[in-house]
Amino acid sequence: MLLPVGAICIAYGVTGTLPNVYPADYVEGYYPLFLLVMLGVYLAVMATACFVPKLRRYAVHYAYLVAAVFLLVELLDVLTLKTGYLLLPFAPSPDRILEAVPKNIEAYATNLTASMMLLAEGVVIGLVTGFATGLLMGWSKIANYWFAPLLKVIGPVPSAAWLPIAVVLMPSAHLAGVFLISVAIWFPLSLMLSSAIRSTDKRKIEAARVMGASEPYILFHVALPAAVPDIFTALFMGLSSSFGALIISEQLGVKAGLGWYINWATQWGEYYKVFASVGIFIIIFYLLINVLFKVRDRVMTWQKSVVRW
Amino acid sequence: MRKGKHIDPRPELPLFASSGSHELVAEGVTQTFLDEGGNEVWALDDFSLTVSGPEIVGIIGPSGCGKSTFLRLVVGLDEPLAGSISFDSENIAGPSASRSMVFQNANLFEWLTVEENIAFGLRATRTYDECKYKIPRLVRMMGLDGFERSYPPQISGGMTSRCALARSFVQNPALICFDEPLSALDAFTRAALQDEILAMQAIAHTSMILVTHDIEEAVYLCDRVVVMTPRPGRLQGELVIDLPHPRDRVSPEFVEKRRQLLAMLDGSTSAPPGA
Repeated sequence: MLLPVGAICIAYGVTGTLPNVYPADYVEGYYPLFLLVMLGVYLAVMATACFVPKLRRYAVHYAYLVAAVFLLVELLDVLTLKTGYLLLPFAPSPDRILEAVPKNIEAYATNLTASMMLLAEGVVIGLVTGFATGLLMGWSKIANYWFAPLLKVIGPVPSAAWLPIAVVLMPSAHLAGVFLISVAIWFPLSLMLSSAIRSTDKRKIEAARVMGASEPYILFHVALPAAVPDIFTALFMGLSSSFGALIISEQLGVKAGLGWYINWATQWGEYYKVFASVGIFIIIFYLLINVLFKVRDRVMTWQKSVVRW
Repeated sequence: MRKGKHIDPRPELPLFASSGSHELVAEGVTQTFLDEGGNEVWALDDFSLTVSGPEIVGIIGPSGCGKSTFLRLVVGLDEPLAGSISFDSENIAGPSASRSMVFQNANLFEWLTVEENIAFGLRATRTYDECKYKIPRLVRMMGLDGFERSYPPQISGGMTSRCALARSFVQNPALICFDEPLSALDAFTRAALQDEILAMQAIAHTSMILVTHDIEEAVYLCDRVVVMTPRPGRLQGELVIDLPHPRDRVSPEFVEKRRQLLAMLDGSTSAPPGA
């Protein structure tokens, strides 16, 4: 458990003693501060872990991993700022990446908000349409006849291929982005929901019929709950590909958002901003997927998780 | 568990309302079904059976003789190809709360708790509010106390069967069909559940049709046993079992009934198919 403390101290010592040579007169500000903050956070975690056995197990389990991460970051620091082995502007030092966000806080705030709004709109529309077509196709053979070919033709095409057409068809680039993201959710959701409903255990449906359940009651109280594991698999897939759709639509169509900011910073050669943006994406996507799995564990108390995250 | 959960909220209301005598009449029932390869299988041929009042009628016969097919017709999941099947002089046209079924694999809904499973039929037919007082009572009668909020994968096979049994009784049926309900249980649990079925029947006065492979189970539970021929299923014979309850599984009378039933079954399997 003390391993990460050692790693942070090594990183702090190395970055403090080695001179900054590339660029020569660079003054580190955020990275040493970041290391100190992390040290404080980790010490606080350790102190709490003394009293919370569950946290202690976690801390012990991940101690090697956390230590390795800090040593890798320090390695990057050495390879960039301390020796100049990796070249600017493509490989910025940890300090440059860390300072990108606080020094451009306004740009990050507006672009992040724009990204999240776009993602939220697309995801909500994708969920609503996905559930609607999925339920309809699962229940009605006629709906399945008409929608299934559409699903099979549109669904597997990656968002990138749709983008030019979406931009032409939709009144605004924003709506084109919403369209791409919602398709990314709609396709796996409607496909897996409809097939799960159609393959509901016949014996369960018959048990419900014997107890006098009507067809709509069976759809919502037998077929739909039985499909919940598949729904969450579909949401996991859909959410992952919707992140892709978000970045693509921002880079090519929409004029605000982190994806657009990445593109913009690349053109100016400010790669530290790119790295910082990617870092933000990593954190946000990780949190969103985690939220999804937490929701699933709550909904599916009756079943052990199939896909582990 | 919530406090006061086991206090019966409506002690004055009956758990089982006995509503006179009921009669199931099946006459000349013939049924075919399509197997997995799409071939038509002749399952039942000119099969007749009458079940009236609170009796337990067993149906035994070789595998695939159409026993389960017959139960599906009785609860209204299928309609017969020929012949007629009626309950209280009314042609059976579909499922009804008056005829319930306990399935071979219990068939509980794993996303519902034990008590929600028992309540399913009430909710589906919008009679939950007036009948929910039955659920804690059935839970207690079936010995499921403390497991009301457990999910089916968390409870044992015996409890799963008890839950399925409680579920079949909650809508106050006049007739319950059992499709090999205890075949997956170990011998001890099965014996306990058999007594449970007899106890429930003594209180509820329901008619019961029990499809089983287990000759001892048939002799232990049934008032009479119908033996069927191999596919297509026809009536091979009938044996009345007039031993008093509780029956002693090793008494000479019990063993004699078992022997007679076995002999009838042997006769049915050794007969050339279609004879």
